[in-house]
Amino acid sequence: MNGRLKEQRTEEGGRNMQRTKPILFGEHPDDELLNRYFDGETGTEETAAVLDHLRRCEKCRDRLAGLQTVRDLLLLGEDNSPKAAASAVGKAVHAEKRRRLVVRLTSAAAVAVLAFGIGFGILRSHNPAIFAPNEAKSQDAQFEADDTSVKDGQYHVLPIDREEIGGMDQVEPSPPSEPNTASSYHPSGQVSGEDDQVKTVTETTVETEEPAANDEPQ
Amino acid sequence: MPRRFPADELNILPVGMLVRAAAAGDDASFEELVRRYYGQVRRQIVGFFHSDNDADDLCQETFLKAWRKISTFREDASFSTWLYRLTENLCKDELRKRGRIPPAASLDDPETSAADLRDISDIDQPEEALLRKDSAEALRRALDLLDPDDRMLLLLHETGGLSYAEIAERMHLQPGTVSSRMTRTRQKLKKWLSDREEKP
Repeated sequence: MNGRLKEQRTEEGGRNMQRTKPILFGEHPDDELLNRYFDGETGTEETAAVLDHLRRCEKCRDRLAGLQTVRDLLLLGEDNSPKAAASAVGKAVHAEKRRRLVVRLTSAAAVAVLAFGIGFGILRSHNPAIFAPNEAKSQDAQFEADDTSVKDGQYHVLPIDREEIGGMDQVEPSPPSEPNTASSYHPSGQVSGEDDQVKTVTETTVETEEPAANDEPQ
Repeated sequence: MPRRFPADELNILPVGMLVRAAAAGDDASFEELVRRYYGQVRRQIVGFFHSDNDADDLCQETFLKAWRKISTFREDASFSTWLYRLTENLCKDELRKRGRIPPAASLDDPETSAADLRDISDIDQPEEALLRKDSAEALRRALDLLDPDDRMLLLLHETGGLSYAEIAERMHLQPGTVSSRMTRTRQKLKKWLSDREEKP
């Protein structure tokens, strides 16, 4: 950087040479000052002064527009309109803004739903009765109704699925070893005991040979 | 809320004000920046790829990227320099995507840029080239009439996005000289344009 001339920070943040001639109120900026203003090479005070003048002077606004025309023709030729391009970019910017908004709203909604779900789950796990007291009762009742092993206070042997237990049907039921025990064997498949408790024996256990005559109770 | 300027005032506002307003979310200010710098960006893209194809799409992509990043712009450089770097990076990324060999020429070479401007009619489709022919020929004449140093100075600024201070450093000039030469060169071009309008 050539540091021989004093520099100052410009309005746009670049660097520029110190202005040599102040702009007076009502005075048209000269070509060089307007040129520097156009290129963003003016300092803060100069920028404010030129802008103030431009707001009031149509002639200088035309001069400024002329600089932009030269630039556009130099860089773009005549068949490229920077206005049309700016409009197209503006639409693209709006579309991008909408897309970002949709993404934000969707994310916010997803987070809200997730938070609600987690909160509900935690609350329910700690206080199940608050959310479904009747459901809990009905589940208990259903459990009792399904439990067919206890009926009328008596124990009943449930039917056994042969296939499920596999090979169990090959096991010969052992006849009572002692004919005169507390419980006696009946071909009908019933075993009676001293306490008159009746147990239903499944077919599996009934498939036995006829007991010997001497096994008959005396 | 971003500061909003009256629509009829946007074209006279200094670049710095527009950049700050755009960074704060004012879309109208950003569109004004696009209007002002569209030529620089487009010329840079065309010069980079030596082709006019997809230049407008890439311009749009560049400005969208600029819009996304404008809040990160630090005012220790000029906006045109920042935009030039951003465009350059996007062009390099695009080149990698396309898997092409990078062009040998660089926009940093003002003579290359000048050649690009002279050959503006050769880079388009025939119909488009025909439409541009008058302008392209006139531009070539105007550039050829310029002093070589003035032409380099102008192109370093207009297509290279360099600030006056950067041009002064590169060309070993005083910043005041850059300013006066830039003014003089533009006046010549302006006069040439007005003469051309009078004699179509």
